[in-house]
Amino acid sequence: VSGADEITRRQALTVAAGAAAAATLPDAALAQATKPVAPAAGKFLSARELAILDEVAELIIPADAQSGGARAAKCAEYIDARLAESIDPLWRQSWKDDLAEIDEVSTAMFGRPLLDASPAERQKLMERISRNEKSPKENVDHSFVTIKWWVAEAFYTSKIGIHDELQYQGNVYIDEFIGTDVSRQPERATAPSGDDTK
Amino acid sequence: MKCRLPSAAVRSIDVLGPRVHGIYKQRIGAERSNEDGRPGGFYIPRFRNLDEKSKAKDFIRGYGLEGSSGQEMFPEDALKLAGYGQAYKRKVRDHAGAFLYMYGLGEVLPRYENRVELDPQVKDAWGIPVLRFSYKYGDNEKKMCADMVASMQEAFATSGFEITRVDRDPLTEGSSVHELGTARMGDDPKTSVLNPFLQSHDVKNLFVVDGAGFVSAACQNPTWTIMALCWRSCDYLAGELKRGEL
Repeated sequence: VSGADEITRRQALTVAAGAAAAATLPDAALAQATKPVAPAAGKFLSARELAILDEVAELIIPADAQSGGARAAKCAEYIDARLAESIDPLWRQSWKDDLAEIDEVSTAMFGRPLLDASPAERQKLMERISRNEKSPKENVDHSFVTIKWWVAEAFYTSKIGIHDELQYQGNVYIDEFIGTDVSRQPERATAPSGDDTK
Repeated sequence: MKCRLPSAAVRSIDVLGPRVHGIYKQRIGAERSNEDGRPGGFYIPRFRNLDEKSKAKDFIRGYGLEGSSGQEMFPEDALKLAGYGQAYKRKVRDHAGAFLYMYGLGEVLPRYENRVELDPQVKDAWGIPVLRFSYKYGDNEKKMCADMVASMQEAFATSGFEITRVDRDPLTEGSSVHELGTARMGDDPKTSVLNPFLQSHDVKNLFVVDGAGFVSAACQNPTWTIMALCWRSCDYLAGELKRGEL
């Protein structure tokens, strides 16, 4: 791990500041939302790249009263694992470029990279990089679209996304098929345990 | 072995066309329920150019419409809704049981220019010529796609769905996974590779019993037709063997 990849004290304080802002969240969500960015390198991404991806992912799908966010669902780790197993060098490199692009925009806007930016600055950065989402033009527009697609894919296929967030009721034994009679509501089925594959 | 493939192959694929997304407002934010086994997925068979009444003004052949709705495990709108943060997350949650999307699958007419050839210059690592594809939609496909959009919009409006997104363009040529053709069947060896029994015009003991013999893709999934043609071809092959013709 190079010096640039280490999490600075300032970054740790920024995370702590985020914790104060999230004080209204339930305990479980709060614990996940305020988890410090992991300093270790990923299977493919460097520690710094993984930390940027983790932060952007949480900004796209944050923890709230309903459920944990992308960080709790380990979306960055999932994407990193997919990159590690990929045999497409161009696709892998594009992720490094996308994450660097976001850092460059942050530096251009605030004079510091994403992980050194304040919570308010991070929100402004998100506004900036998502403004052309429907018809991407600049490199950073494409970076945002790509990252968001994968974060959504990772989050909503995770245990947190499927069960905590969306309260998915399916994929259980059905004792009685009630057809389309909406006047008869089935009892809430118990969500299956498991899917810790992420 | 002499083979006509490099000079007479025409490729035809169905066009996975435009897509319309909608929301049934009364279902936004609805309580979660188990919708497994409910008819959320649907298919509307071809209804254009079946008779005089259904005849389209500016294109021939037709298309089917396919789609899905309901509380599936993965919320389709997660990949469609713009934005980020709490607002995005809440909207995905609220839309999870209220969305419906539909897309068209239409026939691509065979065009002589649509072909796959052995590249005369580029070779792979083993010195074997790579395939060179030439493939473009024509005017009929573009007009058919416009009609798909109009039909879907009409279906959404009539059913009380609010349209949230319309993707008018067909997918990029070649991105559909129903690859057919490349060794089209026909009576004339000058314009086809295989005879109607999927037997090579040039090499009598060569039968190509997959989808390569198709001269067009129609708008339906092709597997059953491939199986039927293969069966027919095998019957013919068995008869020819018994007669000592092969």
